[in-house]
Amino acid sequence: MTSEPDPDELLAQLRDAAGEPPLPPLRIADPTPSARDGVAGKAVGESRRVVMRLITPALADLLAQLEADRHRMQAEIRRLEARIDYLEKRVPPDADD
Amino acid sequence: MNVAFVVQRYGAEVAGGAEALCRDTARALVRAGESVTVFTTTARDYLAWDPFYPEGVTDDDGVEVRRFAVDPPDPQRSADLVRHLGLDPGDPALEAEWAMAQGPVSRDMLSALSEQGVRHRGRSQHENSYDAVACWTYLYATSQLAMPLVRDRAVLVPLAHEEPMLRFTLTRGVIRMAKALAFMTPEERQLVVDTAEVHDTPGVVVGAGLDPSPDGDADRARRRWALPPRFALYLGRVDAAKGVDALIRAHRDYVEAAIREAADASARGAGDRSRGSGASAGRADGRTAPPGTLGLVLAGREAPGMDIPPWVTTTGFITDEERADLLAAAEVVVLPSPYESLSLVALEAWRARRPTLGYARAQVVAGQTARSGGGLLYTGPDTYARQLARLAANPAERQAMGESGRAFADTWTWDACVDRWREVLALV
Repeated sequence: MTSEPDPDELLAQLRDAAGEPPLPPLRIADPTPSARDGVAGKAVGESRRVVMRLITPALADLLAQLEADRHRMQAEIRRLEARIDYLEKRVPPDADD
Repeated sequence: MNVAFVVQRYGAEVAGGAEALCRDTARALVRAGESVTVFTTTARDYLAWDPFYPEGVTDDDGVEVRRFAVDPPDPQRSADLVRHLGLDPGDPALEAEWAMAQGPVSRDMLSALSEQGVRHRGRSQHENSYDAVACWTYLYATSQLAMPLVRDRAVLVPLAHEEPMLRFTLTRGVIRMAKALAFMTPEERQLVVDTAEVHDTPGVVVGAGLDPSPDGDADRARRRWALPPRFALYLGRVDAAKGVDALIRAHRDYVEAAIREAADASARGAGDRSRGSGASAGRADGRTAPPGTLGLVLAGREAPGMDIPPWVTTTGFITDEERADLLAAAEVVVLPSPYESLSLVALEAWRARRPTLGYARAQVVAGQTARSGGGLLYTGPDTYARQLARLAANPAERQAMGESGRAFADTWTWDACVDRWREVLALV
C-alpha cells in the first residue's frame, strides 16, 4: 500500500536534486529604507518601493536575459577548456623541442 | 510503448500553446500505435484552476485522459513571490511557497502517480506501470511534484525560454532529476543545458508536427474585415507580454518614416524651397501613409488593458479557416514575441509561403529563421522599419523566402515527430 505523497517532501527532494547552481545568481536587493526620520523618511522609503515595484517586471526580464548570456558564456568557456585539454593531451611532451 | 503524459491542463477548450502541443503530440503517438494516458486536472484556466471538466477518465481520440481535482491556489501570492524571486532568487522556502501558491496541486493525481510504483531492476512492481512518464513544462506544480515520484522513468518537456523562473533552484531540481529531456528547438536545448548544467542528461529535439490547414482565401478575408490594401500580419494573443505593444510602436515608426520619405521625395521634386517641409507632417495613421506602405493587422484575442490605436486593424478571435484566409491576404507575418520555445506561427506562415519578420532577441525565432531562410530579423524599431520596407519593396525576395520557408515547414510532419518521440522515450 502506497502512502499519500507529501508535497513538502517532494519539493525537498527537488531542492536536494538541484545541488549548487552553475553560477552564483545575480540579485537586485530591495530598496534601502530612507535615512530620514519621520513622515519624510517614510514617504521616501515608500516612493522607492513603488518605483521598484513598477520597474520589477522589466528588471526581471533583463536579469533573465543577462543570466542566460552568463550561463551560455560559462558553458562555452568550459567547452573550450575541455577542447584545450584534449588537444594538449594529443601533443607529445617534447613537441616544442 | 505505454506512455503517460503529465500536464497542467488538457482539452480542446484549453487555450495555451504548451497544452495544445501536448494534446497534439499525445494524439499523434496514439495514431502511430502507442498507448498514451494523460494525467491532468479538471481546470481550463491557468490562474484559478477552476473546475471545468468533470473528474474521472475520458477518451480523446484514443488518448486516455485521467482528470483530477486541484487544491485552491493563491494567484496573488504567486505573483508577488515571482516578482520578488525574479530579482532575488534562491530562497528554497519562498520557491516552495510559490510552487504551492501557483499550483495546480492535485493530491489525488500525486497518489495515482505514486501508485504506479518504482521500477526495480528494469521491471515495475506494478503490471500496469508506464514505460515512460513525460512531464510537460517545468513551470507548474503538476510537473514539479510529479517528477520525484516518477524520476526513474521521467522525460521532462521543459518548453523553456529566458524567464526568471528558469533560474529557480526548484526548476534546476526538476531538470536535473529527469532521466531524459525533450526539446522543441536546438536553442531551447542549449538554454536548458547551460542554465541547469545538465550536459550528461540525454535529450532529443523532438519538435512538433503541423496539422493540415484549410486553403486560405484572401478575398474572403477582405470581405470579412476592412483590411489595408497591403499589410503585415500578427497572429496570436494580442498582449504586451507577447511584444505586441513594442510591435505597434515599431510599426508606427515605420509608417512615419514612409510618410517622411514620401514628403521628402515630393519636396525634392518641387524644388529646394519646400525641401523637408513634409517631415513634420508624418502621422502614424494608415490612411495618410503613401501607397505601398504595409498596414498592421493583429489577429487574436485581445488581453485586458491593451490600448490599440485606431490605425491598427484588429480581428479578435479567429477560426482556423479565418487564420488561413488572413495568411493568404498578408504579405509578411511579424513575430514580435521575445520569449518562445518554439514558434508555431512562423511554421504556419512558411507553410502558407509568407515571409516572416522576427524579433532577433528571441533566440528560437532567430534560429528557426536562420535554418529556414524564410524571413528576416529585426533588433529594434529602426531595423524593423528598414527590414519591413525591404520586404514590402521586393516581391521576388518575399517569394523566394516564402518558398524556402515552405520547404522547411514541410519537414515538420507528425510522422517525423513521432519517430523522435520514440527515440527520447527509449532513453529512460
